[in-house]
Amino acid sequence: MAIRTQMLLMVISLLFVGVLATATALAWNSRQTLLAETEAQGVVVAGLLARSAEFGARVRGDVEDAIAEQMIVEATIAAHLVAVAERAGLPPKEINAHLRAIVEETVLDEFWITDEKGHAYLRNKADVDFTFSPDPRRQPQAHAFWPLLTGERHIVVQKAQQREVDSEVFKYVGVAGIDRPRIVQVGYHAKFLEQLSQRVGLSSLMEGLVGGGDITAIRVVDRNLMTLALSALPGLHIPADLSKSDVARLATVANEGQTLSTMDGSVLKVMARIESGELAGGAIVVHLTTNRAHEAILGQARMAMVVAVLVLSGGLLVAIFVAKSFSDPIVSLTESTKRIAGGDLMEKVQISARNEIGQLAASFNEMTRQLRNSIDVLRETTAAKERIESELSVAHEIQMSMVPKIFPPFPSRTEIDLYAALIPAREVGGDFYDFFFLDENRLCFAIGDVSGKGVPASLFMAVTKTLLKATAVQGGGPDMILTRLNQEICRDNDSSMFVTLFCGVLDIRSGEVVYSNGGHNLPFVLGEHGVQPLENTEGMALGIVDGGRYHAKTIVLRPGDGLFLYTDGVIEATDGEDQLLSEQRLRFVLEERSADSAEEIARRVVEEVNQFSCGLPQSDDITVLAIQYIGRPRSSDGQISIQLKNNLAELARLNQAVAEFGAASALPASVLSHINLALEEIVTNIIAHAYEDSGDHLITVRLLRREDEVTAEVEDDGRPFNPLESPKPDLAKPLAERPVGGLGIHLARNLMDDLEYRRQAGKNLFVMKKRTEEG
Amino acid sequence: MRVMEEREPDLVILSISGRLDATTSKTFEETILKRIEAGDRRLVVDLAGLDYISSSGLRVFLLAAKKLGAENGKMALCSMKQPVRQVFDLAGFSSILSIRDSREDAVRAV
Repeated sequence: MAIRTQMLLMVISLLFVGVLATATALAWNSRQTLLAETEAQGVVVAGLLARSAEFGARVRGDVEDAIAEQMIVEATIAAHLVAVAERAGLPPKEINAHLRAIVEETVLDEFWITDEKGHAYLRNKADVDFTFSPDPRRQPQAHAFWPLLTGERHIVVQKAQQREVDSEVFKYVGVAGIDRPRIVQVGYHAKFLEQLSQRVGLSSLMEGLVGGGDITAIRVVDRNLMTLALSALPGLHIPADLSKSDVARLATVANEGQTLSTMDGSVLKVMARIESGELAGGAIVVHLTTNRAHEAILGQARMAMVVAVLVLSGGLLVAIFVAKSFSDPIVSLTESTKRIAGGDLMEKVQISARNEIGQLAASFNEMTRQLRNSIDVLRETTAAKERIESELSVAHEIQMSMVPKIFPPFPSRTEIDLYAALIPAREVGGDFYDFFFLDENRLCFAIGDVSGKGVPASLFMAVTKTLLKATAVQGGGPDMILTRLNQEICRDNDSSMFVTLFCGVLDIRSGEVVYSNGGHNLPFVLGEHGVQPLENTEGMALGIVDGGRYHAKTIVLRPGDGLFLYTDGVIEATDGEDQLLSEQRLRFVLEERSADSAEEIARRVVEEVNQFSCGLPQSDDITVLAIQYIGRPRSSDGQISIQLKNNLAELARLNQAVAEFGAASALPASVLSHINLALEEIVTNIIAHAYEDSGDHLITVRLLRREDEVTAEVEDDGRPFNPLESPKPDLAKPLAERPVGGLGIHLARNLMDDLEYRRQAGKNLFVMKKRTEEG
Repeated sequence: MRVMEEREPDLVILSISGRLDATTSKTFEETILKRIEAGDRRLVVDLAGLDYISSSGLRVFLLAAKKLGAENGKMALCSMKQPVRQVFDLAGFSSILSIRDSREDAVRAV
C-alpha cells in the first residue's frame, strides 16, 4: 500500500475515533446534566409537595377552628334563646320557628335541641326524629355529645366528618342547656372546607404540577405506604399499587429521610419523605420523563454526525494535502532510487524540502556521488591491474620465449636424448634452462634460478641467459664460464639480485661431463647404480661475490646413463599441509623411472609435483631438464635413425646422416651413393606427394648395416602409396615423347637390390636393401 | 651446387659442380632456361665437377633438351664422373641426350 494511502487512512481513523469519542463524551455529559436537572426538579417538587400537604392541612384546621368558635357562639345563643322562650312559656312550635329563621338567615344548616332524655324535640329537619343514645355502639358519632346531657361537659366540638347516615361531611358543635340538662347542637355542612382543601391542598397542587416540566405523575403515600393520592397525565397508565421495588425504596426513604432518585426504564422516580403535619411519615413519589435527556442525546448525536462529517471532510482535505506534501518527495526519491539501482549513477534527486526527507535526498545524492567516485577509482584500479597483468603476461612470454622449447632439439644428434620443461608460477619467476652445442661434439647445458619473482626476476634471468651463451662461446670449461659470468653479473648489479646456476658440458662422443655449480640444487645422475646427486663444486650463487672463483668436476656418462637437473620449485612444492615434496621423494620418482626417455622422466616428475600439490596454486616456477646419454653406435653393428620434416631443405640432413652412416660403416663410396640417391628419391617423392594437408609431418629414415647388406627404411604417415606399383617409364621413346618426371622411383628400383612396401599401423613403410659387395 | 658460365661466339658453356638434387635443381633449371629464352641455341654443359645427381637434376636436362629441340637448338653434355654417368644410363638418357667424354667433343657436337 502506498504511503499516501496509509497516511490518509491513519488520519481518517484518528479523526473518526476522536470525533466519536468527543461526541459520546458530550452526549453522555449532557444526558447526565439533564438527568441531574430533572432529578433536582423532582426533588424540589417532592419537597414542595411534602411541605404543601402540611400547609393545606393547617389552613383547613385553622378555618375549621374559626368556624367552630362561631358555631359555639351560635349554639350558646340558641341555648339561651330556648331557656328564655320556655320560661316565657312560648310553645315549642314557636320556638322552633325562630330557630328556623336563624338557620335560614345564617350559615348554619342544622340545629338539634334535646330535652333531658336526649330527644331532639327542637329541630329544623321536621322529617327526622332523632334521639341521642347513651350507647356509643349505637351512635359512634353522636354519642360524643352525650356528656352534655349528663353535665360532664359544657362544650363539645366535633371535627368535620362524614355523617353516618348519609355520608355528607358535616361539622357539629354542641353546648349544654342553660335552664335544664339538654343538648344544644348546631351543624354546619362542611362543603366549604372540602372546597378549601381542594383549593389549597395537595390534590390541586398535584394536578397543577403534573404536565408541567418533566413531571408525568405524582403519588402520595401515607406512613403505611398506602397510596393517598395519585395524579397522572391523561392517557398515562400508572398502576394503583406500588411495585415491590418501589415499596422497598420507599421504606428506605421513610426510614432514613433521604431523597432518592431511581431510573425505572425511561422514567425517573424521585422519592421524598413528608417530614411533618398530618401526612408526616408518608412520602411523595414524583415521576419524571427522561425524554428530554434522550432527545438531548439524539440531538447531540445528530450534531456530532454533522460535526464529524465536517471535521472528516476538512481533515481529509488537510490529510490529502499533508500526505501529498510528505509523500511526493518520497515518491520522487523512490523513482530516483529505482533509476540509480538500474545503473544510472548520474541521476540526481531533486528535493528541496528542509525536513528529514530533504536531508535524506541530500544524503542520497552524496551517496550516489561517492558511488560514482568509487566506480571511477575502481575503474582506474582495474585498468592499472590489467596493465600490470598484461605486463606480467608479457614478462611471462619473454621468459618462455627465452628458453628453447622444440624437442627433440638436435634430432640428428642420436647420441643424446634431451628434454626440458619450464612451468612458470602465476607470478613470473626467474627460472631458466638452456642447451647448445659449443662445437660439433660438445653440448653445453645449464639450469638456473634467479632470486625473487616477478618482472625484475624475469628480466635478470633474460640478462643472465644471454650472458651465459655469450660467455660460453668464448671458450673454456664450465668453471671458466661461471667465473666470467659471475664477473659480468656482479658488474653493475645495483639490484643486488643473484642467480643460482648449474652449468655442464657434455662430450657426446665420450659421455664425459665437465660441470660447475654456482649454488644450485645438485643434479642427479641416473646411472646403473641408481640415482645419485653429483658431487658439489662448492661455488656460490652468481652475482654475490665479485671476483669469486668457480671450480669444475668431471664424471663420465656411459650409454644409458642420464642426468636430471631441476630447480627448487620441484622439491619445495607443498601439499595442502605445508609438507615439502623434498629431495628424497624426487629421488624415489627418478629411481622408478630411470630407464625411460628424457621426456618421460621430465613429464613424470612434473606430474608428481602436480599430484603432490593437489591443485594448489603454484608458488614458484618448476623447471626440469633431463638428458639421457645414448652414445654412438659402434661400427660393427652400424645403425642410424633420423627423423625428417616434410620439407626439401631437410634433404641436407639426410645426406649428412647417410654420409656419417657411410663413414661409420666404412661403406664403399659407390654403394653409399646409390643408397643416398634411392633414399633421396623416395623421401622427395613423399614430401611432394604423400600429404594432403600443408601441416608438419615427420619422415623416419633408418639405416642398418648387417654384414654385407645395408637396409634402408623410410616410414611416413602420408596417404597409402606403394611406389612399386607406379608404371615404369618407357626408356625407348624419343626425347620429345619422354615425360618430364616419374624417374625417381625408377632410379631407386634400379639402384637398390631389393625393395619392399608395407602399409602398417597407418604408415607407409618402404624397405630397400643393398648389398655392399658389387656383383 | 655451383654453375659457371663461359661464352664463346655463338656458344654457351655451363660448368656445374657439387650436387644436383631436389633442393638445388631449381636454381640450375632457372639458369639454363634463361639462356635458352635469351636466344642461345648452342649449349654445352660440363659436368666434370658434379658429384651427385638425382632425378630432379635429370629432369632439368630433359626439359632443356626438349625446349632447345623445339627451337632447333642443340645441347651436349660432357665430362661426367662414373656415378653420374651411371644415373644417366639408368634413366635411359644416354640414348636421347648427346653425351660426350670431353668438352672439345661436346663443342663439336653442337
